[in-house]
Amino acid sequence: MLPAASAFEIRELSVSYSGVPALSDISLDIPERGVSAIIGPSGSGKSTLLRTLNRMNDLVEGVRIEGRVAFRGRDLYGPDVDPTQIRRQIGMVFQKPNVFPRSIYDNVAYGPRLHHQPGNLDEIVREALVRSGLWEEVKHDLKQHAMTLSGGQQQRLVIARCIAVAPAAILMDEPTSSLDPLATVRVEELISELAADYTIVLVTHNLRQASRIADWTAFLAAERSASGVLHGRLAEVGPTSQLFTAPVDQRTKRFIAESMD
Amino acid sequence: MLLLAAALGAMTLGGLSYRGEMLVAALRALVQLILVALVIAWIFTHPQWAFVYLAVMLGAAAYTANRRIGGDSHDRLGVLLAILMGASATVVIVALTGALSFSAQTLLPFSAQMIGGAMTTASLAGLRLRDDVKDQFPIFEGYVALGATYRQAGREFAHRAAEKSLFPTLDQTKSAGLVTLPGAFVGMLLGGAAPVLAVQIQLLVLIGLLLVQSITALLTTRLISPIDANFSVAQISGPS
Repeated sequence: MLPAASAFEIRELSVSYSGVPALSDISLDIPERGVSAIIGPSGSGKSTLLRTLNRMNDLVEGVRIEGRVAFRGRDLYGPDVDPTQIRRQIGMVFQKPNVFPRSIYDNVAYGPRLHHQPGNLDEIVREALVRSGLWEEVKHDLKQHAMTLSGGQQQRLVIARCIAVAPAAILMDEPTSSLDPLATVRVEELISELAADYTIVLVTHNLRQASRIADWTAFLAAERSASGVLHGRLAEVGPTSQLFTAPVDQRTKRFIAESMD
Repeated sequence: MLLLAAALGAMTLGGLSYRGEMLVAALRALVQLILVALVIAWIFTHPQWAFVYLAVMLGAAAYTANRRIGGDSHDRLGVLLAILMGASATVVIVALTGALSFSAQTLLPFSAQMIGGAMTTASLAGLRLRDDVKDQFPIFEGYVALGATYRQAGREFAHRAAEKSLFPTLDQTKSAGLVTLPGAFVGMLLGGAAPVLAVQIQLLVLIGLLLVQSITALLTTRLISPIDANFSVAQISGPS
């Protein structure tokens, strides 16, 4: 644990949807900068945990969140917190590239326009596309519809769109699960590059991906409650190399052995 | 009664549902129209009460449209405002230009028809907005994840939803006289009016409805919340 340099502090977090538990009693620190991965089997609540970090779970009617989630010392669920400001500060990239039905330029410009960001809009768009490694591929086609890009390019466009609002952290929910191997490599390289400047939290079912690009890894185990519902509980967290080579928890050991075969 | 029985029979033969709703609708129409005839006859002799009648109608229209959309009390206020603005814009123009004489006998039925048209459009536009957002939820989420409020994110869908909700009216207007004989026209002919006068009134109604529905569609899709309270977990969470 790195309390001094923690970006996210999660304490005794439990999440349920309409009374059905999804996560139980999670306490976890996520360090500033670098890539932290959340791994675990289906039903362990990885995406749920990720979505509590920028209040995207607010979109679910019936969600109930107990415990504390803080970002840089500020309680994200405090009474005076505006969720839209949280989401602006903590960006999100989804499983499938959800580009907006508009041009490449307008996709990246949406956030800066929405927030009336100061500075030259063309320059903000260019910088975000450069950072996402897409600029050279699209610089002559900025007015082109974003849907014309390949899946991998669309996902990098979504990352550019996210960077354009200058977030402090980026949450990624299985960002390569819909991409082919080559596009996956490009996105993984991009995530590693961005990790120098951003706190990146990555949910992945791909353990090799976690071992390749994550500095820290948390393993969520899926437990069955008395009523038979699967919900997640934190089994183990530590530096990725340690978690993969010398896991302490038996559940982690078993999961890694089964998944890496 | 024979027509209603035939309609119910056709639905039964075809295996269509909503027979109960149709029966209730027909009976409601019967009772409501008898009452309305009495009330309107009374208002024509006491025109100062016309506004009360229209206010009640407006409230009922907003309630009905909002229930169809599945909106909450905030949405109902938005729907009410959308219907009010749409209908009153048209009625004011018609009254000020003298297209209809300024009397309860002309303005009351005209206003009522405009409120009715606005109600239909508000339902269609609101439903369309929410369906579009549900169908393209990942894109809606994308806007929200960049710091947009639900309403700001919904605005990206509002335009298209408003446009689509106008299709029935546009079709009705385009096909007027060719495919269908519109209500006011038929009513006036049945009442013994000259065809030319019937056409004039019908045009006023059709064009008036275009204005009413444009305004109502635009406002409804911007004033109601783009997501309803019935979201399920499955729509949100991916594989975890």
